[in-house]
Amino acid sequence: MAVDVPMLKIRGLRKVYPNGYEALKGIDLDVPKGSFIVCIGLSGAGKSTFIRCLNRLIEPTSGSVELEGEEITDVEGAELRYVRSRMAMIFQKFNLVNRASVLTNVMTGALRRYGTLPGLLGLWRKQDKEEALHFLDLVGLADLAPRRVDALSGGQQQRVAIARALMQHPRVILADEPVASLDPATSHSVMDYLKKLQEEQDITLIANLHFLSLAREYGNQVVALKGGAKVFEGTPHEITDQKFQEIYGEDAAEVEIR
Amino acid sequence: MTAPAALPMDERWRLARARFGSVMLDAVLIAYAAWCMQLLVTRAGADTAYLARWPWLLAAAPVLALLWRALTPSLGQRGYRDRLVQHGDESVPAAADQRLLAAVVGALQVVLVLLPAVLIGTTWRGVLPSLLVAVGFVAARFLDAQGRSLGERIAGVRPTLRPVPQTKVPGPWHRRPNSWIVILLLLLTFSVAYLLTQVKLGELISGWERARPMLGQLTSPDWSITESVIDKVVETVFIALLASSLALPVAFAFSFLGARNVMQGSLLGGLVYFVARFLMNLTRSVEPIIWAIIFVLWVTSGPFSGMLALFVHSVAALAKLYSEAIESIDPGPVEALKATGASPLHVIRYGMVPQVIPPFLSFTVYRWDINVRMATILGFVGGGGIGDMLLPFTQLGAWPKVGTIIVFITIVVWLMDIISSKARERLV
Repeated sequence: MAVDVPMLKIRGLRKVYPNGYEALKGIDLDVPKGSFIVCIGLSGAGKSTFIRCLNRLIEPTSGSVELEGEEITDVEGAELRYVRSRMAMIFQKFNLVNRASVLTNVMTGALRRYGTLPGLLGLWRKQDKEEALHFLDLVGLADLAPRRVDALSGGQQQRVAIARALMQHPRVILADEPVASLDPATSHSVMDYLKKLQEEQDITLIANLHFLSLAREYGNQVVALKGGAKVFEGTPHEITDQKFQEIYGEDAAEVEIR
Repeated sequence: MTAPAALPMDERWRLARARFGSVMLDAVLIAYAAWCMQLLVTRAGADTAYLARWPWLLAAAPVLALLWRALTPSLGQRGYRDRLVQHGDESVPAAADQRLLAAVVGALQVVLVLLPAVLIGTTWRGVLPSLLVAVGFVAARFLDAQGRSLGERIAGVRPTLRPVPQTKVPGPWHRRPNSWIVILLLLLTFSVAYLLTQVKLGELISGWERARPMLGQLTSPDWSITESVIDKVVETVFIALLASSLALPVAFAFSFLGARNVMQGSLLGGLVYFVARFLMNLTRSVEPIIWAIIFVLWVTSGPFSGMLALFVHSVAALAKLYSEAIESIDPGPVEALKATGASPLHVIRYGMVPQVIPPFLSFTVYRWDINVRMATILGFVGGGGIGDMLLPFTQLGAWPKVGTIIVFITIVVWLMDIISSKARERLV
């Protein structure tokens, strides 16, 4: 059994923007299957660039990323779309289609499995709709399916985004600051849903988080970025006060989020 | 003091482009000021023969532009954000004597480049050496590790596009040379505009006697033609309606081809974007009345030719507005749709289209409003609508009848304005 093949194997991942700014300076990381990895660091440390280089929303300048043993940095077209569908993404600003219903938003997660015309016209298959309703039920929003998403609260919108991600049948979920736009109580509820997916659906999670307290509570591995380089990798309780100041700078003080 | 690291080639290219652009902008401003002044001195109309003396102007303008930036950061430099800093320390701006040295050497280079062309003449014998010298100076920039020109190397400074920290608080506006240059340019522009418009304020008063009887008759409308006027007004409104509705789907398809955020990323996309934009601007710059003349010839006179004229112009005008709406959408949903693995067409359908529907409808209603106003004059060239009636009455001097028509046009335009603004309020 090839149990030791990691979900993601990242080697020398580097990104230089056209203006010459080096956002990632060669990241190496193994993401074991079924793990919950939390990526921390200051704003501008390269967390967002890192996560977007994994599903190629941003093209890495050099380096390699393997998804379950398959090199994905050079795939194109339909193959790239298949790779992306296996790595669902959740955003800080939810990025839902605001003028559409909750159900339509969830269905967009299934678009890769639809031909051009049925997709354009929104001719969804019956079993896909049932699946979408099932996922909405899972995040506790089954009765909101026909509502327009811009009528929902922030926490509800993020849960719609989670249902959309599940619709892709993902192996990995990339979450870019998933709770940074939410209040503390809602943050915990959204993080709990993500944790549940990792534990019950065997989905690997990589999340960028601002708050170390959330990282400690939910992550089973923490990676810290600073100035585009990896400065720490280990379990959450290995982050000592001294490590913390290395990552966040001299003047930083840890804030609890409850 | 250590030498800074070598810049990558594309950065040197950006620097060279910005410096060329900013010098050219300054040179154009200087040449424009010179043109305005000679026009005001000679009191002539727009004198194009003046441009025949271009070798002189071509040489003087860039030289003056370089001296301008030696004295103070020029307007071109402000526009392109290019600045000179110390070669060793990027945070220290160039001193006045360094700027002057760099500018003088630059001005000498310009003279050297233009000398063959001016001495030998603008045949290939003269232009070719000029080009070779110019290429040599440009190459020198690219061979230098920091993209400096010869003058900048001698002066010990280098160009940068990054913001330079302000070392001193700028003086009040009237102490800055650029303020006076802007004021001078504005004064010159409006003086030339006054001259070329041939403003005759006296006529406004002395001509009143000629206009008074006409204005009197216009304000006592002849209601006997009301019925036929209403028929024509209804025709006008429907010409405009059909033109706007037919333009909607065509402009919709076109607008995505002309939106930068849709087409960027590939060479083919860039080309399509360029062609779409070019066609839009070309079509839009021809007024509907000109299109009506073309279509009257094509499909003979009548409302159909007027409708076609409005349609063509509306497609171009709407496509441009639509494209801009597309370019200003929230990129978030597009990114999210891409991340699901959706195909490009699906990304457009779900990531972009829902966001642009309200502005599109609003623009279209507004266009209908504009088209009704434009349709009132298309009849002057045979394009149908109320203009059909208006033209003979104005030529015959039947001012009471013209007055009636104006009353109904005003009512319709007013109603359209109210309807369209109410509709747009609801949509946005």
